[in-house]
Amino acid sequence: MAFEIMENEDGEIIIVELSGELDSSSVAAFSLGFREITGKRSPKKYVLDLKGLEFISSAGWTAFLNEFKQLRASGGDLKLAAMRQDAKRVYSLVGVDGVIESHETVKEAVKSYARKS
Amino acid sequence: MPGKAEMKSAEIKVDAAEDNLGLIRRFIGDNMKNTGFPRKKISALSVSITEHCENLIKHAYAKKAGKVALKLELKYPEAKITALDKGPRFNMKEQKIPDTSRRLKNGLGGKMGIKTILALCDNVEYRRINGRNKNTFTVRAEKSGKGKNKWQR
Repeated sequence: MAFEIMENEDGEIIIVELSGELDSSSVAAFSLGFREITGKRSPKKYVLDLKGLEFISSAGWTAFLNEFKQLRASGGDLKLAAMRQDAKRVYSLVGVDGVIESHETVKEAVKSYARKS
Repeated sequence: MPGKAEMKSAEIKVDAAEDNLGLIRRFIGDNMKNTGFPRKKISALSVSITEHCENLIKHAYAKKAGKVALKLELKYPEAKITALDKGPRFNMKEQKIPDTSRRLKNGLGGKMGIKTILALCDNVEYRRINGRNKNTFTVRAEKSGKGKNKWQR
């Protein structure tokens, strides 16, 4: 399934929905799309909604880490939400869980921003 | 679910190219459909072969394009996929597997593919035959504990 990226706003938090498969063939589409979204706004809190993401390889995880680092460096933040079970296993296995926060649902990820601020 | 003695196999040979990664996963998914293997094990093979092919494209075939031949063999409870390539000799099991968690916390990426493969597969075998790399990735529906990769213990 082709990779797609879409944005929605929930107050000052931007929800970025990913769907399809994210590997080295689609990682450039993710990075370009995500930077287009982050580049046009002042709010800098993002949630990646992974409900529709059917597959992710290490190329995808590396792209998430790169965007997370960029956002953090500019005072922003990025959280993951609604990850599928298969992805969750690798997320913990390689240690992305020690860097980028993940929540069961988009709603919880959005709420967690409220708790912090 | 196939009977215990029933064996199914399928083969595919494709250019080692990013555009073929989805095709390779569909090859696995389609052939493992309705075979009784749990989704988790099908996913383990799909992720492992994607990581392996991404490494081939990025490193082994970086300067000169090449092909990868895949053979999927299913004999419940064991499923294995063998990948043949003509890249330089490379045995992933001889690589030092870094603590990726620590690397990531220190802002360093990379090295995730091999770690993922060795963790998700119940066994990984490597041989160099007639100038080709032969990597076989095996998953078992009923894990016996045998053949676990060393670092998992």
